[in-house]
Amino acid sequence: MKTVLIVEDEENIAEAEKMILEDVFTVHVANDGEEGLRLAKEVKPDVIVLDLMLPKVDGLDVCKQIKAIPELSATKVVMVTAKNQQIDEEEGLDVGADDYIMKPFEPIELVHVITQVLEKEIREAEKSE
Amino acid sequence: MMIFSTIVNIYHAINNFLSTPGGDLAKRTLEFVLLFFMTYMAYSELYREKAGKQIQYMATGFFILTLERLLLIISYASVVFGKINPVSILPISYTLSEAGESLGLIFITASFIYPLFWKNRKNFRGIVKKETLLLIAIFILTQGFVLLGRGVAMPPYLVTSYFYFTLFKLGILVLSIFILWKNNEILGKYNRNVVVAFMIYTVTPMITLINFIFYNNNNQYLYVLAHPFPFISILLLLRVTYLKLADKGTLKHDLEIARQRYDHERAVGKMKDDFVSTVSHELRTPLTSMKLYLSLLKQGQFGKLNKQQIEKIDLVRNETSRLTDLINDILDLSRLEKGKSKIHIKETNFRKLVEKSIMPNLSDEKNIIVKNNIPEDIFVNLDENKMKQVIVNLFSNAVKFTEPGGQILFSAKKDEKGFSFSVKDTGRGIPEEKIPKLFNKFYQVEEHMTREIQGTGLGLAIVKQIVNMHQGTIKVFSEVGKGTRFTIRIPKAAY
Repeated sequence: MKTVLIVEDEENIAEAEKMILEDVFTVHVANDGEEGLRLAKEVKPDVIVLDLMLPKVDGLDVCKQIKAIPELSATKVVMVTAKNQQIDEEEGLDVGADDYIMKPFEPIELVHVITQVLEKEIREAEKSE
Repeated sequence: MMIFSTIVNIYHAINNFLSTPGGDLAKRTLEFVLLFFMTYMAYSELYREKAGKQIQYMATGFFILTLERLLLIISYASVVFGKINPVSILPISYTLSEAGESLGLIFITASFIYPLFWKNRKNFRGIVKKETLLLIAIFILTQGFVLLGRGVAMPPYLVTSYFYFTLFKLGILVLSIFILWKNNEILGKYNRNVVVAFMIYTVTPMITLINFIFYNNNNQYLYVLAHPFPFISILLLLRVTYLKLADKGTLKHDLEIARQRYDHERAVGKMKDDFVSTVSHELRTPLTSMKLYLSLLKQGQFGKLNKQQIEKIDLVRNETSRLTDLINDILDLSRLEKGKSKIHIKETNFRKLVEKSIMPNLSDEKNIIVKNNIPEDIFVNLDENKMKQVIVNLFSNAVKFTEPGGQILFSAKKDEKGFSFSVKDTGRGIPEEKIPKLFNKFYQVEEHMTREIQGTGLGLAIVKQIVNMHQGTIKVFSEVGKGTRFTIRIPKAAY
């Protein structure tokens, strides 16, 4: 089973996301950027669902730092944005996020975007072989 | 008859007085006062703040004229009151006065012509320099004779030197009048007054010239007649200068008010932007929770639900979606209006873009037939994401206002003029008087609409903004009861 790390400061949303993903993935939850970074290093998740607006270390920084860690090179990042937070789709992908999802979203959209980045990884792996 | 002869007598008396040194003294004093006032005005403007070259030239010109009149006053006064022999002083002061007046005129005409040259200052300085050099040349050439024949009352060569100065003054004035007249449109509203003032000034050298040519400068009537004109002319220039300065003051005041208003509006605009973006962000987080939990509820994650409960949850979910759409539209529009949204042009197959954009489930639900008549090979340079939004908005509007069984038709063509694209429906149509308001924010044709056709009222405003970004136009043709056609044109130059 693939591992997903949710980094989200809104507990309600984190809990809902966890419920949605639990059936298909092993889910870990972090409530701020710092904890997110620590957990990421610890559990080496396949996908990180990263909220952009986070206390302590914000989502963009977390994303940059994760992408800089060699052991986490395989980890995919899905950025959760609220669209208007000084970021546009392109910028989000620029800091190394693999995909993004805009708040508010339906459960199915979240599952869809995560499966897509994972499939992309598989396709890329096949290509390189 | 008595009165008439009295007037004639007075006239002659005045004329006689004006042709004596005493009369000259009176005239020159009057002119001096006026010129002094002009000079004072120009200099006070010059030192009040950073003044332009125009004021500098004007101040210099009037200063020279004032000095020249002062010199004449002193000479006449010493003749009238000091009993000094006129022959020993007047020729020299006349010469200096003629030269001074010519120099003053160079600067004064320059000051009014200057605005024409503000882009090309070097050329302008060249012209002024050449005029001044010419004057110096005339001065030196004529005064060579004067120095040789000093002490003789009005010798012929001295008169000749005045003749050249007069010609020079006339030349400068006529040249300036010509330039000012030709550029009337550029020089603005007081230009005609300046031209008239210079024309009046021209009368004096002209009369003097006639006096020289026909009467050898001995006609007393012409001599007297010539003198009021500079006075009138300077009075006119004074009026123009005063009006210009007054205008400048008003303009400055208005500008200050406009600047304050602009600052205020910008602050309010920024506040509005911040407000829109903060509020919509603050709304997104609770909406996310609502959406997610409603979906989980519906899936039965928190216990099995009956049919009625599921129905009501769907209802709330729809409302949540509407709220989301509204927030998205408000944000989109605010970004588009503020020019924050950038356009990313790339070549796009338009037929495929329409296929990607339309949501068949929307039209299928209402049993509406959608036809895509766009040729396969139309490629247009546009912002794909934004144009997709245009298509989605036009399409969902068409679906909303078309009865079941109706039709929606997409068509497009590209020719040498540009690209055009239409969405046509067989819906209820829009009354003609409502069409102009269609693209206004939050405008809906019918005030009380049924739930299924409610929208945010922002869709068409967004469409219009995006079309504008593509330098295109959007037109609406509609017939009530028959249908509506929206046509977007993008000119060839823009794609």
